[in-house]
Amino acid sequence: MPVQNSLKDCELIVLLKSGDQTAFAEIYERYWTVLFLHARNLLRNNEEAADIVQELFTGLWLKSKSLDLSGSLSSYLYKAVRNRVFDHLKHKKVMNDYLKSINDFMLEEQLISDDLLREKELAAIIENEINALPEKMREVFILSRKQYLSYQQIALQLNISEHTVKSQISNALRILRTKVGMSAFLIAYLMHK
Amino acid sequence: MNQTELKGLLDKYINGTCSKEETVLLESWYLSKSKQDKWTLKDDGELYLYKKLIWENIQQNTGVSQNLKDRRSYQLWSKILVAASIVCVLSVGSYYMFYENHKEQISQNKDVKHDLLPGMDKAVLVLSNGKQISLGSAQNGVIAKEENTLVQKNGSNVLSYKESTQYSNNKGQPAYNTIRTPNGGQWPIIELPDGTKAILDAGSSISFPVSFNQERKVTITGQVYFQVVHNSNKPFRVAVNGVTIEDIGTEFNVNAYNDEPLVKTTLIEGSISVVKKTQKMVLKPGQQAITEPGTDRIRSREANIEEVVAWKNGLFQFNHTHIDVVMRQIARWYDVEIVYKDDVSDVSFSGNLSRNLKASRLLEMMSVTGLHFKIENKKIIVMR
Repeated sequence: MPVQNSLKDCELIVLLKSGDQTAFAEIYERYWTVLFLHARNLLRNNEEAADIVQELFTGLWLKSKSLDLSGSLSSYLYKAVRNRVFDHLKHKKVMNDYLKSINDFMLEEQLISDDLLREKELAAIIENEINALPEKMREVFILSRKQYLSYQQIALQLNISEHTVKSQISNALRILRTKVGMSAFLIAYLMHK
Repeated sequence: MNQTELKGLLDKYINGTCSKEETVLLESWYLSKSKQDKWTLKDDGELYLYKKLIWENIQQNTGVSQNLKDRRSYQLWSKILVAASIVCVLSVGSYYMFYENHKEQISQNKDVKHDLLPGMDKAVLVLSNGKQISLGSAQNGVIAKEENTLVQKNGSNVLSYKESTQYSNNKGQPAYNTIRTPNGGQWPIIELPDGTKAILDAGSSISFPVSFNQERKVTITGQVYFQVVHNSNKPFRVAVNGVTIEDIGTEFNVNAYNDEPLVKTTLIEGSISVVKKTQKMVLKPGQQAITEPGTDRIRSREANIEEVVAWKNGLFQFNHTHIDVVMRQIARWYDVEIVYKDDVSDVSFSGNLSRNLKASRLLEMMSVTGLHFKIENKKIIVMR
């Protein structure tokens, strides 16, 4: 749904907590790439990174109601991926590579004692993952975001107000959510004829 | 720090029982590790594939039915919004977007949704008397008898030729049979009279005598994978496009489509020789012999075995493959014609894709090349 793309993260959180599947899918669309690239860069393994991203989003959906997302969605996701990477490391049988890395690190004393600063750095690193993509892929990624019409563009095209567009869509979503059972079946039947 | 200590630390972190210093250490280390040399991604196709796979798993684990967006969906959306005053129409449109699996082409008529099914087990057996038997629909059991050979089909689509030792019938030329797969077809296993197994890809054929008494020689077109039974007294010969491949007991793949410029013979195991008129080359496992029309010269190179045999494992595997080579493979498997609206000679594709996908899904994954694909009846249109 194009219009979901212009929804802010905090709006998506509200929808997600109310069980909105499209909001969940939009969160996935926005964040899966950087999270996947980040995880794979750390673990040097595609499959393990895929598992982590999958578990992360699965958990996000299943526990959405109880999640404390009062910070930002992105900081929640970035902390979550870090936790899962640590958890993954914890279960490794052999971790020579990581042992060497942390021992070297301790010698160099590059500690960052400010909590907020660490959080900001993590966000910057993860968001920068997009630069690890080959050029064509990066272009496609950025372009696909531009292609989606915002509320504003739709409103212009249809000669109605942005507000009307917004409320019509949220109305439709609300109705759909409640009526999904019976009418979805009917609609499916009609569409397939 | 040793392994136990690190694991203990990680445990505490995950449980939230780390001290401030320990948290600072772990998180700072994590940052430095994240900044290490990027493990760059080479395959665009692979990334898109992971995106889909991960989402499918998420769907399975959560029961979420929402599908990922089709990039073109905004066009449909804005058209539907024109009738937005009727809320139920809007819900129908939204439903279409939420729950329907998008096809590449959004049909103007909105009647039949065009899509293409992947290839399946389909082949025709031509007996020595010219009679044709459709193998896909044939019953299990004995389907033909040629001299003293029984042709049988079993449940897993294995066609076997079993020579009866009862009568030794040595009069003159043996009868020849041909098995042919159309585009959009394949045949999993043909067991030749000596037990040698042949696997046929789409648009291929194999001709052979029903008895290997005199010699083991077959003629093929298209792409066939062989698992030859060892017999040093009677080498197994494959004739294809002016080339003869001789083998004693081994596994190899021959790719010799008429619309491909080269004949590629790849040895997986054992030993074979490739002969073209006066030229002969003996291959070692992992090597590929390449021949082309107009010259007797045989070239050899190391082959990517996985890529060569991907087809018989139900996969398309592409490694910076030129888009027109990719599309020719797709044309054979989906039995379609490819139409190019633009010049795409600079485009290549890398990735592993299942052959069991409907064309629309496969083309969706390929859209990461930046190209656009449209399915129209039995044609795939390629545009920038």
